[in-house]
Amino acid sequence: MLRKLELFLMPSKLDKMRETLIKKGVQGMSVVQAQGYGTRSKSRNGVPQFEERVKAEIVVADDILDDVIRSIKDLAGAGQVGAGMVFISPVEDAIRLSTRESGKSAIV
Amino acid sequence: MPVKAPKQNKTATATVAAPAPAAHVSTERPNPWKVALQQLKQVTDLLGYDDGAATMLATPRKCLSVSVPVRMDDGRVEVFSGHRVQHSTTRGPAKGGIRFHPDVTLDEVKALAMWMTWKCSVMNLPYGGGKGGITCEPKAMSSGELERLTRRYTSEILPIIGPEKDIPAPDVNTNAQTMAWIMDTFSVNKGYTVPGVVTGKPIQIGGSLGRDKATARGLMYTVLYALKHLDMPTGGLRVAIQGYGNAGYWAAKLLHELDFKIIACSTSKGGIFVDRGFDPEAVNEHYQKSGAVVGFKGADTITNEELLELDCDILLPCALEGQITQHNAARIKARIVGEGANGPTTPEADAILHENDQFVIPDILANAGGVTVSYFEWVQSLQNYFWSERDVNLRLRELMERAFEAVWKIREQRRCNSRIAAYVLGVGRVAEAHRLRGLYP
Repeated sequence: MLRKLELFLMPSKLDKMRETLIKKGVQGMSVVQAQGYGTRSKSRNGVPQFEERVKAEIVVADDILDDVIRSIKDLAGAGQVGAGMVFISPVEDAIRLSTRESGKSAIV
Repeated sequence: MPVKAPKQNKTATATVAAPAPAAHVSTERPNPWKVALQQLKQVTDLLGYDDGAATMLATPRKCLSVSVPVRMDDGRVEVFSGHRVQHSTTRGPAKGGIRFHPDVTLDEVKALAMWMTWKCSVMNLPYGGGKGGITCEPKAMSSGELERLTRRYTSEILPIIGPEKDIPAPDVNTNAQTMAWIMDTFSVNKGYTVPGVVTGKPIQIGGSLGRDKATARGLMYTVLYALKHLDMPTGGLRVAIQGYGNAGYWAAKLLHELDFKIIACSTSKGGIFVDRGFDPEAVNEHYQKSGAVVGFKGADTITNEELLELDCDILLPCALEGQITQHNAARIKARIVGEGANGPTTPEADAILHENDQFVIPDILANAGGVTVSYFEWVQSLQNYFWSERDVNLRLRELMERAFEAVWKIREQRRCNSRIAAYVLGVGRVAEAHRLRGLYP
């Protein structure tokens, strides 16, 4: 089973996150600049304010998933308000267009 | 509640110095069957059930007591006494562990079987409740003697167990190997392999991934949900754990991974206390090597009674029943008591803890992770299709959260303590099943 992880992080954590995830066997990452609010965001006149974050998406196979999640938890600033969120969802399939490989072999 | 500051240069004995003299601590355990009936009566009175319905809920459907003759290694024949009790089969087959312990009595097994009924019901599993036990001292028996004991006991209770009737599991002093012997004995007698007759089997013969850590994982989830509802921060909270078996050790390890500080643990041979916290894995290595947690480097030695009264945020009694009584309840300092063991708190102690605004996560909820993954194992065994550990853990979390939230809601609505809330949910579902099925003939 492949899983997609969407990581909402403080921009300052991104480089270190990439470095660590590469060591754990994560072979690709997409990053977009993002703005967003969450349950812990500052409010003005009762309206939560957008904050600068990055959204990093990775797809990993189940065999390294727990290890990857552990590294993300250790790095992302646990215990700090606003450290971010991680969403994990199942990925039905992956296809590498250049080789037409699919499944796990397409992402490693 | 604020995180307590670590105390410097204080010995465990000083930390647990109690206002009352130690002579007040009763070593006599309350009769678990009386406790179980008392807990049930509170709830049937509260729900206004008539005598007939209340008696149905209080009476086990089936109690089988057996004599188990075993040839010992020195050639003698010893006859052990064993029981299997099916408290309820109204919501599904009976489900519950088998324990080997010198203190096993029919009354204890009946109580444990009743608690299993409410536990399976709180978790909304399609099971009734059962329990089994043999009065013996397994620590003084060889592996061969234990195998012969297990197999003969299985053959004696064989007519009443089976995947659709009653599904045993490990409990105190029984393990995956014991379940493999039960499964094999049952299967040989049937003439074909029946993996669904027990849960807690070794993985190689149909056990579920994640079953060994399931009780502790469930306990961890309930502690986290309790902290969230009580608006307590998780970082650095101090945890004391009585018992360092399957539930206690894994609870220590899982909570340690979440930055909780494990400050004390114990086994039947005594406990240890480390004010700055310890690494649960290192203590487990020491325990596996020496047979006790006592003697771990840098730790103070404490008694099991002292452990319960330590200055901590979370107390996890994961040993035997009847540990928190009216004699020591007032001296318990933890804000949250998560009952990893079955029946560690007496009803009198419950009232004291509730009065002192201490939150008890009742056993039938707190340690229900074990039976929940047992249910998953039974489902996988029946289908001969096996799930990943991640799938098991995610499904466990979902059921634990659902049950915790349901109990919390009843507690808020009825303004009662959490045990009564859990009983209202558990007993209510069984009573409703009785009502729907009706009375035969």
